[in-house]
Amino acid sequence: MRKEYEKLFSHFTTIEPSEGLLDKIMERIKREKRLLAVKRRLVLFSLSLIASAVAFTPVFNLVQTDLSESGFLQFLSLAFSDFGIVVTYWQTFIMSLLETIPAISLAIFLGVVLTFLESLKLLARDIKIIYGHQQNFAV
Amino acid sequence: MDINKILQSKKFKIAMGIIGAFIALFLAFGVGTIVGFKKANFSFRWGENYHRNFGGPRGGFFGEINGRDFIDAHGVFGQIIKIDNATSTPSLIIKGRDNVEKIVLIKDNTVINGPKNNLKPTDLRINDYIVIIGDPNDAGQIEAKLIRLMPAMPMMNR
Repeated sequence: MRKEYEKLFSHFTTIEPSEGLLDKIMERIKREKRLLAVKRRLVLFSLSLIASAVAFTPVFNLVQTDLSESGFLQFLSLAFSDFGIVVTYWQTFIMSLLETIPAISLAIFLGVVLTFLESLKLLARDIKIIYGHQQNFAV
Repeated sequence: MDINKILQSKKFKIAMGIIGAFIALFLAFGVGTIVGFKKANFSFRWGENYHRNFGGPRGGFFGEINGRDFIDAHGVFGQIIKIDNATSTPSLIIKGRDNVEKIVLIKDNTVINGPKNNLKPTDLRINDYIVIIGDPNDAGQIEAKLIRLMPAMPMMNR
């Protein structure tokens, strides 16, 4: 009985998986894993973007206050009003600027700006990846 | 191994970036050290000579200066509170930021500019706002190179 069945089925053509199916499945799994990592990064960059955007105004105000209170802008203005004398006494002028520059608040401000721009760049890249992925696998 | 491949590699670029960052860091540290030393030195001289310059106690009325409160040595921006034209070297007492008074000496080569250029020390008035750049001396004073009269700054009155 069994032999007869085997004989019967031997007349049907067997369905073979297409060539490279395993590779395709593995590739798809890899993509999904990458997509998951990208989605996690998306949350992280969104948070850092929001945090830096919120911090921008108070830090900007801090820099503005420090710049005007330290006298840095007044010293800097000499470069425009008394250029010739500033060139003659450039070492003294540079020292007066270095002494009054609000380095800490400027560093914080630039850090916030850098964080914002980097987050924006990486966020845009990740959104592009996710959008591209959705379009590729849209049914 | 191909040297060009190494020079173009990402690792090489990262290494160069790290070296560049360290150079910037060391330069900034060096400049910070120089500026800090000059400010600390001037603050010390200013405090040591306070009783001679202003008639108060050594170290000033507000005690010893410490930490980030060191006084700027190469310039001052503030309001004239006293003018002394009687001596051979005219001098000004300026109330700068944080209400620190500084003595500024006007030498023969000091340039005084305002609405008009090349003003004389006698053209300066009490309560005028000025920006000065100059070099510190051993007596805790600033020998002015350039004095620029500024329009009144309301925030300085706080």
